[in-house]
Amino acid sequence: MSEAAARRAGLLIGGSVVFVALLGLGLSRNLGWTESPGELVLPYRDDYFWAKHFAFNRLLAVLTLLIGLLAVWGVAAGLSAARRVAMVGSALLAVAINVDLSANDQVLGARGGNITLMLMVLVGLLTLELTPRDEEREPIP
Amino acid sequence: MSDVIDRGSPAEGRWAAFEPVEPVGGSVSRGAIAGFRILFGLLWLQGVGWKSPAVPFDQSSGFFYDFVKGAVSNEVFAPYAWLVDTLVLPNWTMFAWATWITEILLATFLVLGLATRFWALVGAALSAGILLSVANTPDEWGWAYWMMIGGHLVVFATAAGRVGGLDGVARPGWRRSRHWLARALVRAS
Repeated sequence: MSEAAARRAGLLIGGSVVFVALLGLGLSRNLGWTESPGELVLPYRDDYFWAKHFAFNRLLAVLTLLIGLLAVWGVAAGLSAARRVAMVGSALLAVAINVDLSANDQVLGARGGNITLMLMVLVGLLTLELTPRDEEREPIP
Repeated sequence: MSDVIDRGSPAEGRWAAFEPVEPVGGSVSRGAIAGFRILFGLLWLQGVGWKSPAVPFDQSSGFFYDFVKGAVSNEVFAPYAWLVDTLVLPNWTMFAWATWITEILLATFLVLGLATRFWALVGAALSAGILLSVANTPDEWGWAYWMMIGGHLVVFATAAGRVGGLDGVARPGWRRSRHWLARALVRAS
């Protein structure tokens, strides 16, 4: 992969994350900063459906946006430290969200959508790290 | 979108039948293919929203549990109903977690356009499971699930991750590599 392709991939990853996070923030605008699990029961109206089911906690979506932007900056500027921080940050947040989701009393109030965004950053950047650059092709045994 | 479409080398033998269709060249058409893939990613993203391990995985109050139970109470296909009754429902927690994680991964990989052809097949399979669970449930529109299956197969057939996705950008690098993961990603993309 050339450096130009790597930058384009970074923009794709960050752009996707920012797009979904903004979409989630927009659709969850009436939810407040946290949700109680009990609010998930039926029945739901259509607007309720879209807001509830898009599965975002606002605070975490904002954190995701920041991590996504950090990833874009790291890839675009060729800063491996920024990429690593974004990867570690997304991994830690994904674990924290999962632990929180499994608990009886949620602290973060997150949903699966928040984990998805973290995984998008993590998986995307890992793919970039593992894909050989043009100048570092693997020797053929 | 300015991605260079990577057609790769033509497959031979038994794999030839699984080669993607030739990508269409127009930017609007290619944008539609990318949008279609992202739409399906968002569909699964919304799906993980109402399945929270904190509450709905509980059998007593779980909408998700009732949803799957429909495969038995409103049977669509007898062998599948038997499978759900004897294997899935008695091991509900494990099944619920597996479904939830699969849907999260579907959303992640389809939106990114990474290993898209593999995940499109996973999405088609999962959609088939949903169809067999709820197609006969009152107030359900069975065609929705047939369309989900068909949509994922279109994503597979068009290798939609090669347009506006990571597959299109990283695939040339994977093809040059002899690492097992790169070879797997070439097949999956």
